[in-house]
Amino acid sequence: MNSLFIYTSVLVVYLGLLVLIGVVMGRRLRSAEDFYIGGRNIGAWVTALSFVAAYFSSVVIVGGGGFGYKFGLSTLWIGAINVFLGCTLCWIVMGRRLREITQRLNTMTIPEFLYKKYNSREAQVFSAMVIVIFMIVYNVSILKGMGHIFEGLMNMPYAWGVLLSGVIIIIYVAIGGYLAVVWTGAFQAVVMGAALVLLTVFTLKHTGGLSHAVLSLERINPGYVETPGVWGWGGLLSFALTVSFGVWGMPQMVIRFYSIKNVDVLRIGTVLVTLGGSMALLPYLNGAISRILFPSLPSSDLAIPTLTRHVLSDLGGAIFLSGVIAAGMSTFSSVLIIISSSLVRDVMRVEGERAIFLNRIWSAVAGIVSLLIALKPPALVLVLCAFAWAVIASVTLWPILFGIYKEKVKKNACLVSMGGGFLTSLIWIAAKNPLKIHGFIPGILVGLLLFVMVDALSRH
Amino acid sequence: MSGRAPFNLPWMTFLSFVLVGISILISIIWASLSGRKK
Repeated sequence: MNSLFIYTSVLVVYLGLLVLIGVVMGRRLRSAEDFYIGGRNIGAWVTALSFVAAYFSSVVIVGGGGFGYKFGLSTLWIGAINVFLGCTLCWIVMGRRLREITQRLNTMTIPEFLYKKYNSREAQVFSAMVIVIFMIVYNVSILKGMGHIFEGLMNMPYAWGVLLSGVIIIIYVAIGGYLAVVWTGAFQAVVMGAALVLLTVFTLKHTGGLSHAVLSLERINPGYVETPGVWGWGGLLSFALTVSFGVWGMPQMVIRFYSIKNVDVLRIGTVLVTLGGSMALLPYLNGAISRILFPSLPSSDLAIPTLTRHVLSDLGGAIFLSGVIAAGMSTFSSVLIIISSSLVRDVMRVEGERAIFLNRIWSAVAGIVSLLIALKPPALVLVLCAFAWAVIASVTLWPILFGIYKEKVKKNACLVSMGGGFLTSLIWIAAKNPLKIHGFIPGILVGLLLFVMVDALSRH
Repeated sequence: MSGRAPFNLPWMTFLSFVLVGISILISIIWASLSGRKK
């Protein structure tokens, strides 16, 4: 009873704060540009922190921990490649260009950028539809992660956990729009980081320090400490690339560059995002080490919740729970706004005052649909997430990258690359990832090849 | 490379931490260089 009281109190305060931020930001909303991209006036700290928060959701904490549990310490490479490719290089390569070109073209969404850059309404609608459908899949994986955490830490039925977190997010996104998303995201990144550090410190204390934990894990199976270890290079690298390079094509991530105040802000932001992103290694580390304490869990997704309960006090557990909810909510909210903007601005092409109203409605609808699917979701958290990322990034990555670096690009190259990347990744994943290579890799390779070939052919 | 890296980790696993260090270094160097260019 006492522990339930502690958990509930911390949660009520925390969730109340989020809704408050939503309401305050909602009052600042003046135009559709505010709703979509915060009026292009967001500073370095908030942008970098909210980027990290949107990147590392409950999927990474719960699912990443699960992968750590299942495959061992080689999964640290996923976190490291996340930092290098998904944070540092992504900001360096895409930040400035995307900020400048999207302002010049006056675009507020990724599909709209593709429309104006390639002069193709087809590219806009196709990318928007892919984003809407597969972002909902992604949202399901996020809610599933949160449901497991409530289940593992508070003994709350899975469905209640999903409902509670889903409803709060839907409220603050619908009220506060993008401004609420970035500000709650920045706040949540701090909570997440603190929670992960707390868990790591106590886990290592419980297992006798890192050196000792590594030896204990090795005694269970040397494959759990070696790289590539029990997973093998194909699975490890292709997965790491999917959730790292994939960021470059994920609208909820690159939209951060649209909304940043000016290009100077990007410099300090790049350092901040790299430092903040380093927390990505911690779930994998904790998940791998948890095998020493619990050698045979029924599901690897339970590794982090079980570990938390075991090594942290009630207050610590409550703070950690807030951290995971923070991670899930910040990503879910970023994704909701991308879904609604794709529908309202890109498919329905509504602008002005009515657009804000419609965005509120559609973000709520998308949230509710994700929520209903998440009540009985298929597959493991991280598997679902990687599926959605692979398909979306296979469609958008090259058209965005070529679009910001090449002055003249061909519409056909964009369309064929999108279609080819989409089909390849989908078919590959449906065939259960042959050669243990994730569908993202063939998806982007085919997308790249088609873009270059069709672009060259169209010029002759 | 043979033997063990710090914390008894195999070198190949330890290098993941090195990659994070390199990323931080790159971001700092890039931030200072791109500021100077202006």
